Amino acid sequence: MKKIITLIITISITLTLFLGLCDMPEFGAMDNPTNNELYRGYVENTSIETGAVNVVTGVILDYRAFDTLIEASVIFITCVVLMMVFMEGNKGPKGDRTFFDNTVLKEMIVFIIPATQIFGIYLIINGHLSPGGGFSGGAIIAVSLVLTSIYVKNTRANNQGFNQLTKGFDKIIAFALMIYAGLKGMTFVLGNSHGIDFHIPLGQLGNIISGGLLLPLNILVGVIVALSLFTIIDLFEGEVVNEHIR
Amino acid sequence: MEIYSIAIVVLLIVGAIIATTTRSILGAIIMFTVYSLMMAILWGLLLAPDLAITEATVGAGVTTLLFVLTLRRIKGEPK
Repeated sequence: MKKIITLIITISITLTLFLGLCDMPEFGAMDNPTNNELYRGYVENTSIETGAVNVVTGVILDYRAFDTLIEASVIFITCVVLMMVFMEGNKGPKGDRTFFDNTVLKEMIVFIIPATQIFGIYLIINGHLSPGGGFSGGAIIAVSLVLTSIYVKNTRANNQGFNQLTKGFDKIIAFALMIYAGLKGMTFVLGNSHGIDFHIPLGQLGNIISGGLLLPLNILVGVIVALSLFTIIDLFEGEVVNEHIR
Repeated sequence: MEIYSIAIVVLLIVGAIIATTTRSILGAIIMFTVYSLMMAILWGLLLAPDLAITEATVGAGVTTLLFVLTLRRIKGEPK
């Protein structure tokens, strides 16, 4: 009986959602409400105004830069809260690492690590020229750091230094967030609003060093995301020695 | 290309159903990874490479790592 009621509720909710889907405009049609002057303005003006070939980066790191700042600080806050929760119980020795003790994994990791790191750095540096940017590049670098830590902890007998690696990361991330906020806030203070004509030169469109603040902001977001995700994943390793959880 | 997209969407639905109904937690995590990769291909087909890269790294890489580590943490090593 319970199953039948659940089934009926699920099917009716699904049908209601599909009913709502029928009212949606056709995908990619010309007269959709999304094809308005805002979209056209972004496509036409982003490269001229921000110096970014990749319009998405131009939008998220120039027009909507404070959105990105808050998104990056959300990851930072998650990382800090997880540190508060987990660091307390992590005084004991970290668990054995037999789960990753795999010969195929150990041999293949050596070839994968450099490729992932180079790809992540490429995505961050070329964030304003090609698809990618601080977020995706930072996540790729975080994954490569995790692979590195797995490799080092499995193969080196003396890995005490690596266990303590994430200790000062919260300060580095907070510092990067502050530099980001300062760089973006500077454009308000030094902008055109009070008669001071100050512009960061945009440079040649398509060069690596161009687009004003886009490249440093991309690197800062990459540092924030990479270190935060690496710290979060590193906290989840090891055994729980916390009394409250048991 | 239309058929390719439809095939990927069907695989997405099948993957979502398997991920929720399977008994093994590790199997559910793996199906979740497959789901993310299919979604990344779909983003690529919709000409959104930014989202495709982010989905492939965060959805398939970081989330899977976190799930596997948490599974190992709460119930010992997965068999």
